[in-house]
Amino acid sequence: MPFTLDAARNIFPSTLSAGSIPATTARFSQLSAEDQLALIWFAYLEMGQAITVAAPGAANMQFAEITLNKIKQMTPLEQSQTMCDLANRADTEVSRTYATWTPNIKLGFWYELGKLMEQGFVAPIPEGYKLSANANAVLQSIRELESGQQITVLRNAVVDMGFDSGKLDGSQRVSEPVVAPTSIGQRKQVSIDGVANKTVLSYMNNLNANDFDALIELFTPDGALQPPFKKPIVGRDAILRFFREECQNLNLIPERGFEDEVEDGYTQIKVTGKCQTPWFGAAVGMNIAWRFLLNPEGKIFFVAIDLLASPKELLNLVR
Amino acid sequence: MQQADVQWSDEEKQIAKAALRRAYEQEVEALIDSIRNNASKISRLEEVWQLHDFLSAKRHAIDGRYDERDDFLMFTLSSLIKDGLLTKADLTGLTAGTQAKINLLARM
Repeated sequence: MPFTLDAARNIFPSTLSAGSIPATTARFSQLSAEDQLALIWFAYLEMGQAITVAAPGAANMQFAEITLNKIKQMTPLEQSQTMCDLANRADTEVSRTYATWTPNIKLGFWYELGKLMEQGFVAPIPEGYKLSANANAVLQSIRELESGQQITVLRNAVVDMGFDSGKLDGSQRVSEPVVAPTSIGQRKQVSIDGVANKTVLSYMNNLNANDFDALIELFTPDGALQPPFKKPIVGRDAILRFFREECQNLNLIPERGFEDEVEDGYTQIKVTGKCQTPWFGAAVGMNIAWRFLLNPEGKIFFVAIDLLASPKELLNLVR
Repeated sequence: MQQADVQWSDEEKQIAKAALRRAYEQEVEALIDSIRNNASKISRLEEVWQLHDFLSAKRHAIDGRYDERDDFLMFTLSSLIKDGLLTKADLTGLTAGTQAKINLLARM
């Protein structure tokens, strides 16, 4: 085996990812719970046109429904406290339930809460609430990001809320039922300028069709997938769970790339393009690079997904 | 956020904001100087991360410190005095009552 996982992570080292995202997320987490909630609300009001549900049934809300109904029946004070508890990652019943949800359910929960606030069923951010200077500075940094990066920061903000899921027993995870894969006849096939590799094309097509069982077959048993700004997920079981929990209803739009044989029959392939998520309208595409390392049998030993620093990076295909 | 219930005249606001800008410029200048000096002495990765942590903390401090919205001016000025970035002399021109309140807050 010519590649270790650490070596694989460094293929195409000139790929420039958006470091402003983890930096802004870290600054956000330093804010008080009230400021965090108010900032999300103000960002939603300002940049909310991007936050529309692109796919009907983007998340199966049945898991959040009980919690949402419980919150609706609370007094306004209890409602505000519940939201602060989530931001504070406090150990409460709602906070624990929240922690078991997938990102899709969490995003759907806040989307519904936002609607309930507008309708007057849930206590809104107090009129005239003034963000602290720190929160204002973070909001300003978010304004200056591209829309695909803005939604990533806001997504991180709500996904990280709730009781620390690391402290929960793994068996408590709640996943949405996996949507049925798109039927073969209705699948769209991507084409990538400069890349004809079957494995890479199948990766994109299977993910777009929610066909995770076929998708996982493309990986080697010890294969790894590295999501943006995360550690690699290693092994088929873990990767399959990631696909089911976090990758339903994505729309990958790869544009261009190139392939390059490296050593001992291994091939590295870099592809750039866009990715749309079900929660943030079709108008917003994140600029993405996929860095694949395939073994001699054409199976995926490693793939990194990077959120790019700027649209200019879409054209960076140097080795 | 806590807000002070103080009425500022336009002239007082100008004096306060000018003091605030002076302190800001001095702090930024001092920060840039110290980074230039210290960065050139870095030789180990651990020191790079120390600089990173230092910068993160500084960013949080500076982002939060210079709040010039009317409701926050009193607290901004008092915390600048407390941290030694302004002196009582910088408050010259403000009413005696405002100066006294700022100095009182700075001692808390």
